[in-house]
Amino acid sequence: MRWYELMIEGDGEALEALLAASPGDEIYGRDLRLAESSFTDRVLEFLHAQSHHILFVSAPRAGALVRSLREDDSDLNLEWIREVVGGRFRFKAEAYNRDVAKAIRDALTVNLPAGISCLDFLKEENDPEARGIELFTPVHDYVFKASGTIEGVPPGILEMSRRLTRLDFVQEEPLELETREVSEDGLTFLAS
Amino acid sequence: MADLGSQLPVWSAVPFAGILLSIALFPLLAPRFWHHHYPKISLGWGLLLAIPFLTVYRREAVYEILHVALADYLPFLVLLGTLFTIGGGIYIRGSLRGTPWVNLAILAVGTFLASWIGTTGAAMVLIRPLLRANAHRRYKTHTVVFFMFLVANIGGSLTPLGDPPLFLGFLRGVPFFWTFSLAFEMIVVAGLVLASYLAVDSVLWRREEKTVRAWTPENPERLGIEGAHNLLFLAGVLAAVIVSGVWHPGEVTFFGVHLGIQNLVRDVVLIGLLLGSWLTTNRETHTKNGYSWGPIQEVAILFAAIFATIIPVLAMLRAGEAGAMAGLIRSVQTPAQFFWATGVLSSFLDNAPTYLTFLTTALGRLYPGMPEREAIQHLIAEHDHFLMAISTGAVFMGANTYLGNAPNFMVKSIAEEAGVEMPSFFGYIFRYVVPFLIPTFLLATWIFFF
Repeated sequence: MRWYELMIEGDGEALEALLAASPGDEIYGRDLRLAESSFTDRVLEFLHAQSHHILFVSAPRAGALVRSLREDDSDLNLEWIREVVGGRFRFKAEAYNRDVAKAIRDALTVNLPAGISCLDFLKEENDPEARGIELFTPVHDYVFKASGTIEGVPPGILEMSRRLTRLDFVQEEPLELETREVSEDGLTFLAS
Repeated sequence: MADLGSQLPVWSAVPFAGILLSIALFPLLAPRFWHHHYPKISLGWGLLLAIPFLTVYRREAVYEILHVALADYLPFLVLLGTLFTIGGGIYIRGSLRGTPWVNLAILAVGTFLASWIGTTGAAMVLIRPLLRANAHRRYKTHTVVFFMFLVANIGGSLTPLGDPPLFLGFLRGVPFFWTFSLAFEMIVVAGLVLASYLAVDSVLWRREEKTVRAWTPENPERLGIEGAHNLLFLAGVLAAVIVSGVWHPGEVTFFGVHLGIQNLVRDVVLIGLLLGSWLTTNRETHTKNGYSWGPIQEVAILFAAIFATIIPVLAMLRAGEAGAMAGLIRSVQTPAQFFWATGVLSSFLDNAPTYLTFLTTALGRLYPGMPEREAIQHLIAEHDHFLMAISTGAVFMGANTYLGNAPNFMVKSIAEEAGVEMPSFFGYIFRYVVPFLIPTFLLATWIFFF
């Protein structure tokens, strides 16, 4: 199934209300690690006052959404739409707690979405001498490390980005998306 | 000593810079190497100073090393070890729900407690209850960072027990109760930081999912203190330190070093309190706090090197314009400059030796050649703003980086092992210190030191 990236301008709550009217499979761009946002964007995001919203949706949902936006009399506007054909991102994880390490390992290895490949490196280190409190020579007695590149097609690649973004102790590089422009005809077809 | 200070070359400060930079840089650049080899590195810096110093200055050098060991290093180590052991015997149990107001209350209690059991002790006692209270929350990193600001640093400014720099000042003649004169500065700065925390946590609390906001503990445990008898030992510490500041029964001389009997009595009493606490506290309570002798061993080894290598630096500074560090003395002139110079260096180097360096710089500038205790009394009577600036700069700005004060790394490490992701070295500075602490310190400069 094809997936699309939509940039919608307008009030965030109005958009949420529109989406809530017919729940679907959308993924918010803010839940993924996309390109580094500006300081102003981050402040606005912190205050929930952003005026532009990125959404990823499957083709049927995209069509319905485009129709709704055209019919909607609120101030929500579709600024652009692109088809997402694939994506990749690099990540690195380092954790010092076994439960956190298990959550990261599970996210990388259990129930991987179809068409996703990941993980180059994973290891655990134990240093019993480092157990306990240290004031000036801090090291952890347990260290879990993982790193790699995740590559694949949507929605799997989006799901993996969302999974890792939700986890602490994981640093992801921005998700690089391979996209295709949608022509006016394509958009009309999608909305029909 | 004034003579020695005017003879020593500026490069005799290299071992001091070396040990401070080792403490600052190794944990960031080669943490595992540092963890396993810091005693050898410390010994290396110590010997680099001691061998030429003893070779050239012989008897005078022996006196200086013995003096710093007996009058500064041992009392410092005994107090820190005692407070750490007593703090490690107090465990707060019970279920708390990490709402903005509950977190604010924990931070406020910790800020107050830090002046009485030391920043390390207060941080050790309260970090685990704070982490338990916030375990269910998504946004908790900022709470640990503000805990570091307040409990591990700013809160320690009210008594010489609060933070090692102030105890070093006390050992050199700053009266115990003088630090209470920092109360207004501490209340203003802590109040602003607490208000910032409440604002940030309130916004993030609203961003938490509904289930998180509605969360209550499944089997709530009543709040309580294990090892509460340690509070009596703590009162004993307070009494012993205060008495040593006001009681002057005379001196004994040990290899030419004059030692106040009151200080020897204090240290013996403190060792007794340390042992009393250790022997009467349940091992399980120690284990829950992660208490071990490890941190005391670290302080013992690293500060042996710091106190040895600081000898020529203090001597040069005490000599004032006649010493090789006249440039430093000339470059720091006003209380505001002392606040920021002490603070900026305390941000990256350990704040205890930094405090001593700038206290001696102020004495060297204002009272060159005058015996230290006498000079400190003059400083308090005539220019107490300098001492206020140095004290608050050293204590407050220890929060500016993970390196500034020993408990910072301890809190970071405990939080990470509990599953809280902490910011990187620069992330901590740019995401938290620059927006919240630096404006507060600028305001404090304007209010208190201009």
